[in-house]
Amino acid sequence: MSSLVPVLEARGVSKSYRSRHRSVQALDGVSLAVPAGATLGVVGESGSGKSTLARLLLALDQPTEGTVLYRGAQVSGRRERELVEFRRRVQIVFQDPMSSLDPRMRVYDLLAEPLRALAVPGDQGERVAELLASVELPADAARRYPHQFSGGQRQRIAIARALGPSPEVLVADEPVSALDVSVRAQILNLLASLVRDFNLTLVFISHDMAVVRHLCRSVAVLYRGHLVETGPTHQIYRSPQHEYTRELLAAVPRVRTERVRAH
Amino acid sequence: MTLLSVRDLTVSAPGGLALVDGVSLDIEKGERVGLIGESGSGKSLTALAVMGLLGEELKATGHVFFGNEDLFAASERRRCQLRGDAISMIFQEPMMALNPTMRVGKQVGETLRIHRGLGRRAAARAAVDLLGRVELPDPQRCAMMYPHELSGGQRQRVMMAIAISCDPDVVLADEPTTALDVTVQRRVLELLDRLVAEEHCALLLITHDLAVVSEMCDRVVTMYGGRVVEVGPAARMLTSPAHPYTEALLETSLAVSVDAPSDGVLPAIAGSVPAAGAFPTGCPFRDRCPRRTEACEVTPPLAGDGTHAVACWWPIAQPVAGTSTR
Amino acid sequence: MTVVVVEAAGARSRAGLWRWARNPSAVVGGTLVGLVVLTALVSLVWTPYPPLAVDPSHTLARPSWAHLFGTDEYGRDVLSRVMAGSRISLYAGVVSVLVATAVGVPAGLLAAERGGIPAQVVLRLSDILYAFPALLAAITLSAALGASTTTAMLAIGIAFIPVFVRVTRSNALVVLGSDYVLAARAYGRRPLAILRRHVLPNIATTVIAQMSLLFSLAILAEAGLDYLGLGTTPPTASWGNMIETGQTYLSQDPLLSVWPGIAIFVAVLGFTLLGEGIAELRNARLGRSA
Repeated sequence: MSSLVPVLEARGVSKSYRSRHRSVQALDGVSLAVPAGATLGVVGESGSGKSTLARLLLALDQPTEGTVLYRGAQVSGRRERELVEFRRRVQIVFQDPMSSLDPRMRVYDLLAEPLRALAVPGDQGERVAELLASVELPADAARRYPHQFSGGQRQRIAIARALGPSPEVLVADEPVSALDVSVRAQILNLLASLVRDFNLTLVFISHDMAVVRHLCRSVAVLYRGHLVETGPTHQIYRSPQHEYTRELLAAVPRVRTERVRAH
Repeated sequence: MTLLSVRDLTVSAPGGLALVDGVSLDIEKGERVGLIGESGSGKSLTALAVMGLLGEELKATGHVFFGNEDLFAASERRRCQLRGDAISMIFQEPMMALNPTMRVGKQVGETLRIHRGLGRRAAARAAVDLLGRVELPDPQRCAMMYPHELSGGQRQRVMMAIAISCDPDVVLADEPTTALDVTVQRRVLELLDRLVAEEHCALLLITHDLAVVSEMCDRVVTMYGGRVVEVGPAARMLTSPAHPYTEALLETSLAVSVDAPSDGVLPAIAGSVPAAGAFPTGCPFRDRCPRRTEACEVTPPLAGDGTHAVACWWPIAQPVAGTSTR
Repeated sequence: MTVVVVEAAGARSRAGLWRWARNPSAVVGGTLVGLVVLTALVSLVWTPYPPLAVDPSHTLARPSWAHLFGTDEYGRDVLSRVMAGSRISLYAGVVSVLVATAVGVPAGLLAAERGGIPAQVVLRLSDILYAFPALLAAITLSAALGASTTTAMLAIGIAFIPVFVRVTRSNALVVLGSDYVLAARAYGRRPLAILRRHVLPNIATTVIAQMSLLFSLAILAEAGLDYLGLGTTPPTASWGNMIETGQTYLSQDPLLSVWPGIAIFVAVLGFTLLGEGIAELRNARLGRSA
């Protein structure tokens, strides 16, 4: 019964930002349902509105039109104090782990913050140690500051922080775009195993069709604030329907080992 | 004759820490060389040292021959003459490399005024031509705009217009498309490909994306820990690499593919690139290498035949016939 | 798998000390400020002579072993008075900077966090205050409350409020726009907690550097108000009124104004350099971690 209600849903959400001279329509009537246990890739380039969608799904921003629902209950427009349970259940990882970790906090405090803010029961120290272990960081990492870690390690810290309140939905906004190729693979492996081990529902936002194909079972393609195509991953990659999806797929550079470049 | 020859280039931080450690590489006339490796492997520093654009704090030793001329022995005046003229550079973040308070046309024309002695009018006309050549829509109007009024891809096109303005012999491109969207990257790569072909100039393409290298380059140089660990023809390096590091990079790139993703766990290199100064002695990669033995505590020399060389005691496919160690 | 931690934890604090020691502004500024503070502390328990003790037989004496800086028109020991005057200057600096910080920083935070109409109100008020001549404010205040050190400090403190509003707001806006604040909102931190836990620690260095710079300006301004008779009143020793009396006797004893002048110079230079040093160190660290 509960599986029929999507865990996270956007219903006709639009968002426009007013700058001094004009108003920019970041999202235009996007409807998207994320069933429990789904791994959904939201693909789009800069200006597609994908980060705006992430903020709306997390109720960090108000849609100008439409609603965001968590298990059928509206979360958009709610007061922060009514969202405590929602915040425990839905967490986010950002693109740049340097800017998403307060440079003046030790890793212990970074990981303990959500536990304190959301009054997560249980022993804090134990939980922090557990979280570090789950992202494969050594326990003594807790005493250090973010700048003492490499990019990949920082992203592990950010993921551990998001896992703190034991969420059921993880929204990841371009979590590997700022990382090197080899580190990217480590983080993708980690995300895949966390999704499996903790039964996470994953909303993975990315511009990278290859990464999305690897991690997600369904895909939504955003283009200039519109949802242009959605469907199961294998279907979209095999026979993309929308012009833009085709262009996205064709544009990805491929390792061409079979031929020597012709001059 | 070799166009650009880097010999034993070492870049050191204050205190003597070597960030680039004895790098040698050659670029022939019209050749396209891809320089690959993760961040922190010394790729960008190598390019900046060749340009003579290292910060005050970093010290470069060794030789960079442009033709017969040793650039490190040349006067600053001479280097300025060559910079932007015979040797030009494209940066990853065009927003940082462009002057935000100067109109685009003026910035493109500036190089021509400096190196070709063009007058204001002539430079402005040439700038519009160049903006057209990099396929910016309405070059006349673009020339009057400021960098912030352009998109990321358009700014990178402006950088490319500046880079080719004086018909360079070699262009150093440092991650030119990394900050761009996939569809924009595709178009910018196609443009770079075309411009380099039209100008008959050589290209040093610095990137961590092996797919980009495989589409653009004839030869590949792998760097790790400030050293060249493998160099060879692209066709060979991207099918049967000899260095475990090149292989690991290739495996990862192949596994995360848009065409056929690998199921399950992706091949990844254990650990991460250490900070400068924290690399192990001997082979810099040995901590992360699945093939390491005690022998790796001694630095392996870069050895091989004339086209393919590797710095590894246990290479995967020995490039020199008859000396197999496996 | 093995994870290599990039840098040892202890290295950070040691590196911090080392950077501090290698920054000439910070070292010189810190030393001068230390000298002034030490003088003020010593003067609480000991001065060569009581600063207010008159000696009619030795007025306007030249420097000697008995009176290193000489004596003034009442025969009071100038060295003792310069030492005692440092208390007034430091006191003036502390209180006026505290007044400015206590009002300016919260107002700046409010303007940054709320935006919209509250921000407009705060910023316009701050602009009005900025445009209002500080000297006129001092005159008005001393007319209302009488000339005293406290009046002078209040006037200076109020005049500095807009500076703190601006510095706080612009720096807080940067922090509030960062991803880690967004992350904190995503795990349910409320605005006040975000200000306390993320914004304040991250703008602290800038604010402290600004405090140090304004401290030196406050010392200068307090001396100026004393000189004009709007601040500390005789016979209490302050550097400002010492210069003023010294000027009266310029022809008999030109050194009389020079001693407090040097004292002001040392204190102002010290705090200015310290402020610059803090700012430089902060920039160096940000540059390194970027």
